Amino acid sequence: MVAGIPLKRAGRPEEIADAIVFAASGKASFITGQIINVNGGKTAS
Amino acid sequence: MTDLVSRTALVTGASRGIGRATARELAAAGARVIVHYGNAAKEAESLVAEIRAAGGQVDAVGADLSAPDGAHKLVAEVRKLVGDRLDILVANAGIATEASIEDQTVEEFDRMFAVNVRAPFFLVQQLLPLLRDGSSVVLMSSLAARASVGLLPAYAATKGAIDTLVKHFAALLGPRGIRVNAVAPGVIDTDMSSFVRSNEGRDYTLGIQALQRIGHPDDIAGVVTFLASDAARWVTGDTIQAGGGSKI
Repeated sequence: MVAGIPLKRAGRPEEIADAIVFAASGKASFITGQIINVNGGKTAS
Repeated sequence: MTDLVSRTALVTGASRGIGRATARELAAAGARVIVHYGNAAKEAESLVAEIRAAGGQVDAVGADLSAPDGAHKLVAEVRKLVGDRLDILVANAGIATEASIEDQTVEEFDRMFAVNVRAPFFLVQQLLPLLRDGSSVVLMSSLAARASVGLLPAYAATKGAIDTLVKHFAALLGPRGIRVNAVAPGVIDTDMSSFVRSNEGRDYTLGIQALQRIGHPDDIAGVVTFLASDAARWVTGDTIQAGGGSKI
């Protein structure tokens, strides 16, 4: 299953949560209307 | 608060604009930052003084990234400062000149590709021995890579190349635990996008954008800092659009 994932492992729920927290935070102040891919690079490979 | 204590970071093109804001934010998060500049030594030194006054760890290094061996020379200087380990590369340095198809000169075309594409490529190559499991590389893309904004076909092509490199670098370096991403800013109030300081430029920018305000370098620095941190440890091979909802 991990063969097509550049980081060569499965993701963890906390890793998605961290990206959600970022999207909800002030650090994402200029991001809207976007989808952030959080998948270990699967969509890039 | 992002914790980058005990991490080392190199930010290219950090004397002004987005690079400066990014270096400041990485340092505030605890990283030791190497500030690269091309020509603006004085501005880089003022940033160094500012970060040190705030209790941060920082050094400045000058290098001409338009030269074929610019990345190699910069990495040699960085190694003298940080030794054999670097955790974060922010390849931010870039140049842009507007030109129509008819008016584009070969010299300026080549210079943009040298600084915006060749330098980041060879920075990554030369830094590979220093980048460890958990390292993060952040490249700088642009809204122009996916939409025909401004009169910037050659510049836009350099940023399209960055979006491509991100995918290939991420796939090739993933097994080593190195993440590679890019941020694609929309129009940000910097010297590079000074047209936005005119009424006409401001109207154009807001006309293509959802948030209805001009972006600030800090808007991008926050995204870069996220990508540089462990909070983004499952994000790689992506270009994050940070344009206030431009051209959506």
